Amino acid sequence: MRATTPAVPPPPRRRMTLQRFVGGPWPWLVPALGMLALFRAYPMLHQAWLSLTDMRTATIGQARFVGLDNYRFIFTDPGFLGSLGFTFMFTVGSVGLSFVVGFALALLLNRPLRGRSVYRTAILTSWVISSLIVGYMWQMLLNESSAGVVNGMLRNLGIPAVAWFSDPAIARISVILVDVWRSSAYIMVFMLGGLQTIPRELVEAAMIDGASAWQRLRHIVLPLLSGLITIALIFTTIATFNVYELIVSLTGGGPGRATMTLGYQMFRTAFGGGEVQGLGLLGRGAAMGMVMFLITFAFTILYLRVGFYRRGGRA
Amino acid sequence: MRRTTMLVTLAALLLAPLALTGAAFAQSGEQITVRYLVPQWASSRDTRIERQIAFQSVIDSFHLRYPEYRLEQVIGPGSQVSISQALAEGDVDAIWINHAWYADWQAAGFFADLTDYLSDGAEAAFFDWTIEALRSVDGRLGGLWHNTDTPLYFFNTAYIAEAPTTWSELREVAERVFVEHGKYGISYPMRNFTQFTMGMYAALGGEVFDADGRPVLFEGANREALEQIFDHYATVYGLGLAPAASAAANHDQQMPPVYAGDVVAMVSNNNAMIRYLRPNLPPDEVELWSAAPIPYPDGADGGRYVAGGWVIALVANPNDPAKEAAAAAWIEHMTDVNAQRDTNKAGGWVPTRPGVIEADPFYADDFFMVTTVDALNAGGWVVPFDPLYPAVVTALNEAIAEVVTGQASVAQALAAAETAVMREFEAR
Repeated sequence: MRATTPAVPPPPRRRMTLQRFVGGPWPWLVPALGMLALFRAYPMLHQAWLSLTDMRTATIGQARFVGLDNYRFIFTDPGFLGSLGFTFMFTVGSVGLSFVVGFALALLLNRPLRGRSVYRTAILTSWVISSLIVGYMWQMLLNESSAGVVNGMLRNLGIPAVAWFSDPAIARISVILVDVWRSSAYIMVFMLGGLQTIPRELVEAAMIDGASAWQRLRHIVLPLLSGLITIALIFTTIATFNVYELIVSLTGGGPGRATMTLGYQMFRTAFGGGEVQGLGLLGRGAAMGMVMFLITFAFTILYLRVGFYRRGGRA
Repeated sequence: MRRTTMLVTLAALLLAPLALTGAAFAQSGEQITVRYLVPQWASSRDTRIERQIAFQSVIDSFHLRYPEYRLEQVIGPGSQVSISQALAEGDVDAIWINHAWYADWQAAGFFADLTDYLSDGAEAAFFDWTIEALRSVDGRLGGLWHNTDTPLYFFNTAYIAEAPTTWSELREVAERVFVEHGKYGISYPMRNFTQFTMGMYAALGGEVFDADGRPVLFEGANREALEQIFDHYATVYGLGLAPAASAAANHDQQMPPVYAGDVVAMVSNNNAMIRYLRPNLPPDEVELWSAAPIPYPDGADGGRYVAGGWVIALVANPNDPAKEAAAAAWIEHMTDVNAQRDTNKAGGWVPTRPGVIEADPFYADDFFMVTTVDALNAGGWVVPFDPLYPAVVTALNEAIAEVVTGQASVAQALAAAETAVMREFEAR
């Protein structure tokens, strides 16, 4: 016969009075919540409203309510759908590769190694540099003429020059690789921090028990780092999905629309300027921004749920 | 006695600044302040000393000429959004804007008509196409064009003795240079394709919009003109006469091959070419470079050259006509002979008064300036001032890039561009 524990009655709900409110935590949270409302919630709501209007950059304040017209337009626009497809491809390719490279670097630099801090700093530099600068730098390195460093090296080795940015398929791979170069450093820092929190005794005990390196990684390191991996992947995915500066400086979305991401498409639709012949359609750009927000929000929910179940349903 | 003197002196010292401030305040009360919205790079607060001096001297001469007016520079980021906000708030009296943005604000009624404010003969001193373009929106003249530019054909005289004038000549020259020297004869910054092509489309008789504002460039003779243009670029890239890399390049990005000696002739974007060439090549190599108007399509009588630049617009102020008149005086002053000469010289821009260029040795002795003016005099052309035009050029830029990189045939690319443009037209 199983022993049953008597059910504990829930504590009675106490009515919130002004006295309790003032004496509780809420007054201390008001400044932070106010800031959040002002700088996060309001812009978000304003953008949602903008996406339902035909507001243009040239005539701010003269917008008409157009309902869902902007959403209808973008979801039947081959250009937008093409950008959406490439952005998914770019995100999956870049985040996946960045994670593999970053994690491998973290494992490598977690071992006793002469000059380890120098390597860490050198690798981290790629993350510290602005994306725009990274783009311009790689534009020069991958320049397809004899001025290009990489093609120059290939030619010296007797390998034909590569059309890094003028061939559509190679251009797509090029932008992913440049983003991997940048993002893997971020993953590395995250993972390195996590690796250093794993108790050495656990790993040493597994070694004594005869666990191989792969088994130690699979059954000790990865489970212990799963929470951190989830967070790193959420951050990297959101940043990669919204990529804009790198595309501006590397390819301008070209050749044609081969490397057009949603972030760049949104900018070009809403604003334009400089050499970018933008459309100046703030309303439609806001609709694109809302779609991007919903997708990144979905990514976040997905990762959080996966992380939650990995931890056995514990928050 | 000594004490009294000290007290009087002290009182005088204390009251003098107050009196001076009061006088200045009284004076400013009589003056009309013109608030002039301008980006930093076109103001006396630019970081470059030559621009500081040039723009400040224009402001000082304005104050001397019109003691009743005072000019206040309102430095803004110069973006379309920030200017729109300033216009919506009615916060400024004159603004420095990109010519491409003028039509929207003029059509929305933000600008006043300068015609009645200008002195006799003022309009005739400008390139005629500047006035025509500014009046093209609704017949009113909402501003004056301060500076301009147009793409030129830059070439290395060590390889090309005489610049080609037509596209067939260009292809011949490019082939010869490639065969004889193993160099490219031409490079196009294809991301800026329309900047040097839409004028040629006009030279072939092509029209972008009909009288009702409907896009007509994919119809009949207009489509044939587009096909001729696309075929030309497809041929150039297909034969390998231009570096494939330029298909994905803008005007900055096509420059490294020039420094490295790969490309000997190119179409570039106005004064940017000169700005980058001079510091990046040895002086004796810079001397080898010359410029000519860009070659035009066979079958056209001559070239039409896309003119860009910056306009100073007069913000409508029906509640304060005196202030509007003061702002109009500033615009005329800022675009007069002296101001155009000095500020354009400091900025490295091309004045919109041909007389300035002809009269000043600084401009008259510069091959770049002379060639630019020749091209603009022969066929200066301003893009249609229509809110849909950005959508048209975006679609065409993408279409030509897809053609030259082999992603689409000319017919496919034009069909996709037509779909994009017509969707935009219907959506508006």
